[in-house]
Formats: sequence, C-alpha cells, structure tokens
Amino acid sequence: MEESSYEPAVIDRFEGEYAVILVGEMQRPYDILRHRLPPAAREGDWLRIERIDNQIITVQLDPEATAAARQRILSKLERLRRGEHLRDA
Amino acid sequence: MCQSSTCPHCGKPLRLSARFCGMCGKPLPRRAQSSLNALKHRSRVLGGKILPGLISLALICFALTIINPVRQNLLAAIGWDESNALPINTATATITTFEVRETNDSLSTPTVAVAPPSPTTHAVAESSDKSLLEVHVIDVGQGDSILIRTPEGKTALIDGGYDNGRALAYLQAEGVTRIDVMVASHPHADHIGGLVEVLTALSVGEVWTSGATHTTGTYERFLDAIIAAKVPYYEARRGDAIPLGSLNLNILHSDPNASELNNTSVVLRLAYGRISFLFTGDAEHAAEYEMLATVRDQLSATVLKVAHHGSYTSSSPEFLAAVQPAVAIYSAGRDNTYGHPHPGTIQALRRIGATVYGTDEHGTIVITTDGKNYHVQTEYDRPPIQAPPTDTWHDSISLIPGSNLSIADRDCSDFTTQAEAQAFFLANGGPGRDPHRLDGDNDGIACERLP
Repeated sequence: MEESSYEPAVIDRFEGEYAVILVGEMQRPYDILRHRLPPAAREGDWLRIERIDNQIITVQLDPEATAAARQRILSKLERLRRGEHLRDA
Repeated sequence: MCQSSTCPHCGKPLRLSARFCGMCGKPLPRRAQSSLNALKHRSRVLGGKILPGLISLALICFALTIINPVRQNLLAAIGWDESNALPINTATATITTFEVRETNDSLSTPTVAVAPPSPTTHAVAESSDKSLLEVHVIDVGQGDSILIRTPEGKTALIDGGYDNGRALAYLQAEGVTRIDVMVASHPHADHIGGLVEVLTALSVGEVWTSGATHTTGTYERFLDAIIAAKVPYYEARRGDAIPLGSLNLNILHSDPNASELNNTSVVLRLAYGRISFLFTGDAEHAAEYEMLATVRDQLSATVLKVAHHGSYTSSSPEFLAAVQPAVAIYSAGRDNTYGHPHPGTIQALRRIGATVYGTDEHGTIVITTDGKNYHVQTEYDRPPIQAPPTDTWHDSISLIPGSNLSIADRDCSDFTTQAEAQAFFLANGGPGRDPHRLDGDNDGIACERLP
C-alpha cells in the first residue's frame, strides 16, 4: 500500500453537490463531494488534504493558511488599487 | 446501452435518458446519453429511420450545391450583403451555421432566413470589411472566455477559462497580440486562470474587475501577473462605461460585496448598431433580481452569454424575459461533472424563443455583425441545442443538490419573499414542472403576491 502524502489545497467554489478545490503549488482543480469537506468549510478556505495517489483520504481546514493568504492578497490588491505597480522601477 | 441502464455509483436501474441517478443523486456519464439523444435528434429530423436519413442528407447536400445562386438571391432579398459576411478571420473555425435575421429592433420578432451551411473553410487571414464586430465565445472546456473585436480593431477579453492554455492559444491563432480591455467577471479559477497566461504572453491595456477578492493561489497569481505586466487596474461600478474604441462596455452589475462570488460578477452590455450583447459572468438569481430592480430597461440584448454555464442557479424567467435574446450561448465543458447546462435552463431559453448554442456541443462560437444583421458561426456543424424532452429530466431536477424535493409539499406561505419562492420554484424544475404548484397561472413567476 502506498504511503499517504499531505498537500495544501483551497476551495475555489461550490458547484451543486461538488466543491472545486485547487490542489498544491500548481492549483490543479479537483472535484470533491461537498459532504466530504468539514461542515464549516467555505469558499476561499485553505485545507490540508491527505491523499494516496489520486484519492483524497482526509480533509482538514487550515485557518492559518487562509488568514495568511488573505493578508498577502489584500496587500497586493492595495498596491494595484493605488497604482503603485505602475510606478515601480 | 447496458452500461447506462444502471447507475455506475450505486447500481440503481435507470432510464436510459436520465442525467442524474434517482437513488444516489450523482450525475451520470453524459456520453452515452448524448449519443443516444443525437441519434434521436437525427432520426426525428430526417424522418424516423437512419438509412433513409443518410440518403436524404446526401440529396440535400447535392441540392444545396445546385441552389447556391438561389441562396445568394435570397440573402440579397433580405438585405444581407454577403461581402459583409465573408471572409472572416477564422483560423480554427469552419462556417457551419449561417443565420441571418432582419432585425428592425432587438425586441421585434425577426424574419429568419437560414442559409445552408457553407462547406468551405475560409482561411483568409484578414477581414476586408472593417465595419464588422466579432464576438468569439471560445471553447476553453469548463469555464468562460470571450473575445471581442471591434470594427476599429480594438480587442476585449472577458475571462480566460482555467489556466489550461486554451484561451491564449486561441488568441494567438487568431493573430491577437494585444488585449485593450481585459475583464475578470469574478475571481473563480475557471474564469481567471487563463487570464494569467494572457497577461504574461500578450500586451494588455487595462484590467477591470468587480473588486471582489479570493484567497486562492490562482487569484494571487492573477494579481501577480497584473503587477508584473504593469497593467492599470480598475474596479467597475454599475453605470460605468468602459470605452472600447468608439464603442462602450456598459456595466450593468458589479458587486464586490455580494455574499457569493458568482454574484459579484461584472455584467456588461455591448451595443453595436441594432445588435447588442449581454455578458453575464456567473451571475445567479440574486444578481439577476438586483439588475431587474435597477437596470431592467437596459437588459435587452440580441445575444446573451448565458450565466454560470447554463446552471439552474441563473437565467430566471423574469431575467430572460427582460433580456429577450434571439441567440443564447453558454460555455461549458463536455461531460462536465456539474451537469452544466441544466435542462431547465435550456428549456427556459427555448421557451422565450432563443436559438441556443453551447461550446460543449458547438466548440467555439463566433457572432459577426455589421450592426444591422448578424450571423453565427460554429466550430462544429451541429444543430442548435434543443430542450431535452421533459420526461427525461424530471428525475434529475428533483435531485439537483440543494433542492428540497424530499420535503413535504410547499406553498407560497412558506416563503417570505417572492425571490425566495422563485429560487425554490426554479430549483425544483421551474416552469413545466412545478411540483409544489407555486405558479398557478403558469407564467413562469412563482407566488406573485409575495413581496
């Protein structure tokens, strides 16, 4: 039996009974039945998924990763809104 | 056929044409059903039997080659100048549908003349007539991506599908080197992923979003790509007009604070002469009701890009009644997991008289217009989408996730607002189904008396 591995993923959206999660560095889309996610899971939440080959075994919320991504993204967005990226050398 | 008679998930026996399993509710593989439906369609069209059908087809093709001069006279008679129609820059698309409508205005019922499909691939690189506007609904698989080319050569790109390279490859094949206006309708990966690739490879003039944000790596990459390419970034508000040469992309909706990202979608209308287009992103019922309340008189459009891949979450009868599209185009991946487009949406579109095309069936769809007439060109030569027979999707509708058909019968007093009743009504099959009898007068609007 293959060993399981852990990977970060993020919930991109819900489509009916499915959640579409984006997995790993490549943000590869993966459909997972909504009921397999923790009940509190929301669009935009980061997860830690455990998988063997292409099968997802467990899914856990990763609130720290979500908060970190949100903060990083908001600061980038502020730069864009202020047009700072146009002035940079 | 035997495979499709039981559910691959739970083994329950099924009707051949079911799209969702009646027991476990899971969507069924579409391939078997669509080939079955295609077969049904062909046999209906050509008189009930396959072999005589094929013979008829051969005879029709032969006859069409003979009557080509007649076709040109017919087109001339309705005012279509064929030099307007051809040649068109289509590196990948074959002209398979040639449809001309005389439109006095977009709301009148147009006289329709359908010319036979041209068998020719037009490999001419440049349009010789600069008065044509082109709108390309690009087949990017599951996702949305729409290219607009104005008569002056300005380009806009609304969404880019997933980061699967398809939108960029299409643009490059079309010889597009610059996108003047890029719009991200909302930050889901099936809309912005491909925009990252376009921002990296092509020159982009400006980027517009609703201002809604996401936490995904794909969204962060989108921001990184705008920063790296030093492209001006703007957030659209309802009432804004984004100039595209001498035309405008009018913003009818853009709500960064909507509770679901789909409803943050930037919705744009583009008018060129008498022909207009409405691009809806993934806007769902809540956004549709907001538009009906605020910009109802601006919603009418000749061509509708159907919201959210034809999902039941969108395209309410009231919204479609306000748009009154002659042509409706959805973008969805072949055999997608989500059942897009939903049969009720197709039925609602057919019910208001729209001719329906989808990228899953037709590949890339290009509408070309001189502002008076338009024609629709599809990559694959297939008839427009028809609503499936009602008896084939009763099961699927009752099992749409999130709908509550298993609960006891509901009536209008179970809802506090009409919008809430309407959403429930639509999620349970909408017009033609209505198991809870919320639409007694059968006008597609549930519980009119509610606030």
